[in-house]
Formats: sequence, structure tokens, C-alpha cells
Amino acid sequence: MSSNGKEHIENSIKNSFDNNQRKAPEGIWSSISKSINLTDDEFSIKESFNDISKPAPTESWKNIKKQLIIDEVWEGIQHYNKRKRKFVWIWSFTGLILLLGIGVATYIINSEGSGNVISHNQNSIPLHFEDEYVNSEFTENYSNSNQQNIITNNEEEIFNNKGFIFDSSIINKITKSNGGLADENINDRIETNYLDSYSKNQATSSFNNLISKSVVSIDTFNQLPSEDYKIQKLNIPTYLLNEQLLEPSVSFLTIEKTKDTKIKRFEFGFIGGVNSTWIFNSDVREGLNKHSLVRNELSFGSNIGVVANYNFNYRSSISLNYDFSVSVNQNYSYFNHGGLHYREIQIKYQKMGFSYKLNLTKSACQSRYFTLKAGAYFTSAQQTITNGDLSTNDFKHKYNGNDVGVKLAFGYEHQFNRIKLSYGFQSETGGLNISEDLIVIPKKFKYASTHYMGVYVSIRYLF
Amino acid sequence: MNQKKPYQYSDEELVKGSLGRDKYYQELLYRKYADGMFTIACSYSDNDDEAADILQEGFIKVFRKLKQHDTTKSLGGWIKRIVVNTALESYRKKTRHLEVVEDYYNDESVGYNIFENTNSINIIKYVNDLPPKAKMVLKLYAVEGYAHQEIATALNISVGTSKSQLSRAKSLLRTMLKSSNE
Repeated sequence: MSSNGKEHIENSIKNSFDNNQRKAPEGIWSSISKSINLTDDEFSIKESFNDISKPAPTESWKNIKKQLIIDEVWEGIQHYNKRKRKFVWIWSFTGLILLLGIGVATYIINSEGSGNVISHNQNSIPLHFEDEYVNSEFTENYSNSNQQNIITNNEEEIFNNKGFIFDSSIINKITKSNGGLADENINDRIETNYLDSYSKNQATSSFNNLISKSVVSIDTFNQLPSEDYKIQKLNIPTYLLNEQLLEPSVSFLTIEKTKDTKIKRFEFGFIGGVNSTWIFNSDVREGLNKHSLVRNELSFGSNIGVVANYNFNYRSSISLNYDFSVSVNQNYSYFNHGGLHYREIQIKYQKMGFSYKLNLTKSACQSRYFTLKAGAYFTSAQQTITNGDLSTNDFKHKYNGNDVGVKLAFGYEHQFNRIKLSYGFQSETGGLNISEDLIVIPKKFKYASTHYMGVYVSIRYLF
Repeated sequence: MNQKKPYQYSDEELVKGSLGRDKYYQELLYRKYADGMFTIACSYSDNDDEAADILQEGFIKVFRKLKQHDTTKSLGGWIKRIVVNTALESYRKKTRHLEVVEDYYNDESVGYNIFENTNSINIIKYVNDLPPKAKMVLKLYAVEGYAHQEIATALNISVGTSKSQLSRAKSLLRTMLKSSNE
């Protein structure tokens, strides 16, 4: 090799070392400066102690490890306690939604009729189809009568001078809502319409009669003493009826009668759900205590099955479901024998259930509505699996999974022609002890039950 | 895949693994520093059992406070500091009702190394034979490199007491050596 080549290699090596500069660790100078300040005898002492080395006892690591595990458990428990509070909120929120659903249902049921006072302002519920109106006997009576009179039948009154239609429920409602003010108001009205005291009293009596009975006959008005004080001046509708409910120019809502107006009685389809599941055995219940060494983990399960519904009418139906795959899981960890053990319980079963479903909206024409469902179920276990670190007391937990319980669901349904899609919240609670009866411990001493709460979705075909 | 051998892991890897609650990394970190720390614990205690307690307590603190460790600084130094402080806590508990000593020793520097012809084992023996407070101050000052202010804080004494205890320790050592040579 030439001398030039040799130099080149040497330079390369030198450069590579020069470039490979590393920063000295911090604290080195501090240590050196302290050593410099030491006297010779102090430095000898330092060196003497640095020279010796004693191996750490073998038991030390085991003890340290145990303490670290205990630390983790306590940290986990603290974390769990915080999370438990979150669970309380989640359960409360879900409960609130269910209560809200029930509240909405109750409100809708109680307010029957209030939403369908008159067809003019309602998109969904016609009081009458126009053709029914035109061809009715009621209309004939109306057209043949004096245009100044009020024509009534048992269900509704038409005030000819305004062309209003309203039914008895309006009057009932107004009577209730106006209460004792009715007489005062009518007095005012009558005065402003130039009635003398006699006719005013008669009219008051007549209209009170109308309000209370919801029926006004032509005779009532004929009894008025003078034609000059005819009822036409009274402007009855504006007195009787809330202006928000009635408007002067009512037009009939014409709704096409389609072939699908006939109710579809049967529905068949699929249902599935994802749930937060619980198996409340003695460990899990203990885990709910604030200072427990058991830490319950969030566990999820699912259900898949088929569903068949029979609709009694637009409002109510009965539902039968068969869930061929249901899983309920419970995971938790616990501290025992100086260690943290993890356990996973899974129960797989089939479920048969029935429930009554209530459509919370009253209209037959609406294709979207809230539903409330309540019922019962029976489960038959297929498989029970217990995984994790098995300890000596594992004989405590054996399950059969056969159960009977109740269920509640609040949801929303969409109907597209013959397809129905529904989704919402569901909750189920088992009523039986699912523990197995063992020779060592009878099952009455180790009560365990299943619970779940989650969301569901179902799609069905109507026929 | 070849698994790394314990000594091949850097401090940074050990810290990261230990922070992830991985028992393997925690044990590796312990194994790496346990012997050195046990030696230190022994130097601040009267027997091995006491030293083992200090070691355990020290390492538990290490793992609990590992998040606070500044990775730009030496891990060994940080652990050592914790173990020494643990030993001092143990010492404080032990000597709460002991030793009322005078603070007025003067530093009589002799100008030469009194241990010039003494081997390490004897030096350690002489140091360990010192009265507890003097021994503690001497070790903290000479071996651990603490300043008097730090010693005063660690032992809950005044700076003056720390200085006088150091002088006292040296004076006692000279006396011991002198008597052993005679």
C-alpha cells in the first residue's frame, strides 16, 4: 500500500473518532470537584468505601416485588373508585332516559285529542276527509239550515258564519282550561255585541249549556226572544275557541287514501345488541365497596337473534324473540396470597323472550315514533367459561346460566314501506341465582345474578 | 430473535420498561444497581438486616418516584441519593433520643494523610467504630460528597454541628490509629 493510501486511511479513522464526540454525563464535574476538595485522609476513606462491594440479599427483590404489586392494587382500586362514580352517572343517565321515555309516553297518552283539534294545523291527522264531509248527512243539514244558526251533531259543530269545524273535545278542553272565567267572558262578549240583559242571561245560559254538554241544538238559539239579537252577533267562535287553535279560513286537508292504510299485522326480522354486562357474584359485589381489594373491570357482551311481532293495532303489539347467541361477561381482578389475580367469567346462552310494545305516538300515519317495550325472558346456558389465575377458592364460582328475568327497552322506530328499523336502549335483569349447587357450598350461599344494559338495533319486514 | 442480556439494556430502556409496570424491566433495573446500593446501605447501618431493610425501602421509593427521574442525569446517582436518604431516615429514627455532643471541636488539620499506610479494610473498620453521628457526618462528607449544608438538612442539625462532627470524627480516627500503631 502506498504511503498516500495509508495516510488517507489514518485520516479517515482520525476523522471518524473526531466526529464521534459524545457529551459527558451531567454531574461528573460536580463529583470531581467534590473529590478535589477532599483532604488526603478523606479521599482515602472515600476510596476505601468505594472498593468494597456486598451482594444484595436474594430475598430483597421478592419483598420489593410484593410491595410493588400492592402499590398497583391500591392504585387500581383508587382508579376503580373514581370509575365507579362514573358508572353511577352512566346508570343514572340511562335510568333517566328510560324514565323520560315513560314520561313522554304518559304525556302523549294523557294529551289525547289535544294535538288533533283541527286539521288545518296538523300534518298528520285529518279529522275528516273532504269527500266524507261533502257527502255526509251532516253537510246536508248544514246547507239546508238557516245560515245564521249553529248546526251540530254529536261529534262536532260547524259555525256557519266562519266555517269552523271542531269536535266535542275542544269544548271540553276549553271548559276545563277556562274554568270559572267562562261566565265573565261571555258577559263581556255579550255586552259588546249589544244584547240586553235578558237575552244576555239567556245566551249565557245557553252557551254554558253548550260548554258543559258539548252539544248545541238549534232550539237553544231559537228560544232567544228577539231576532235582532240573533246569535250571529255573538261571534261565538272567537269567544269559545282559543284563537291559536282556530283560524278564520279553514281549509280541508286532503289526504290521499292509499292502499297501505290497512295495518300490517305481522313483522319478522333480526335483532342484535351490544351491552355492558355484569355477573354479580360475591367477588363483584365486594368490589363495589370502597376499600375492597377486588377491582371490577368494564365488561361487554352481545346478543343476536330473530324477532317476530304481531301488531294488534297501530299503538300496541306483542313481540317474541329468540336470541340464539347471547354472551354475558364479567372481568375482575383481586388481590390474594400476595399477588394480583385476574379472572374472566363468560356465560354463553340462548334466550327466549316476549314483550309488549307500545307506540308512544298516537298517529297511525306517522312513520317515525318512540316505543316502549317491557317483557320477560328465559335463558338456557350453553357454556360457562372461567379463565384467569385460578386460586384455591375457585370452587366458589360455578354457574349454570339458566335464568328467568325481566326486560325493558326504550327505542325509536322508522318505517320505510314494508321495512321497519328500530334502535334504542335495552336493559335486562335476571331474577334467579345462576350459581351451581356444589357439595362444598350450596348455591344459596353464593348468590350470583346477571344484568345487562346496552343498545339494540332491529330490522323487520312487515306482511 | 435473540433476546438482549440484562447488562445490554440502557438505563433509559430500563426506566421506560419499569414505568410501564413491566416486572421484567423492574427486576433488571433492580439487579443492575442492587449490589452497589446494598453496599451503601451497609455503610450506614449496623448490620446486614438493617441494610437489607434500607435497600428494600430505597428501591420501593425508586419505583414509586421513577416518573420524577430526569433522564438526562445519571440513574445510578439518583438511586444512590434515594438509598442514602432512606438510610438517613432510618438513622434519624434510631438516634432520636441518643447522643448529645459538643459542637466545639476545631478542625485540626495535620497536613498529611493519616491513612497513608493503612489498608481499606482497616480504614472502614476504624470509620465504623466512630460514634454514630460523627461516623454519619464523615461518610456523608467524604464518601457521598455532601456539603455541610446538605448534611445539616439531612440529619436535621446545624451546619456548625456538621463541621464540628467532621472534626471530631477525624480527631477520633487519628487517636485510634495512633493507639493501634503503638
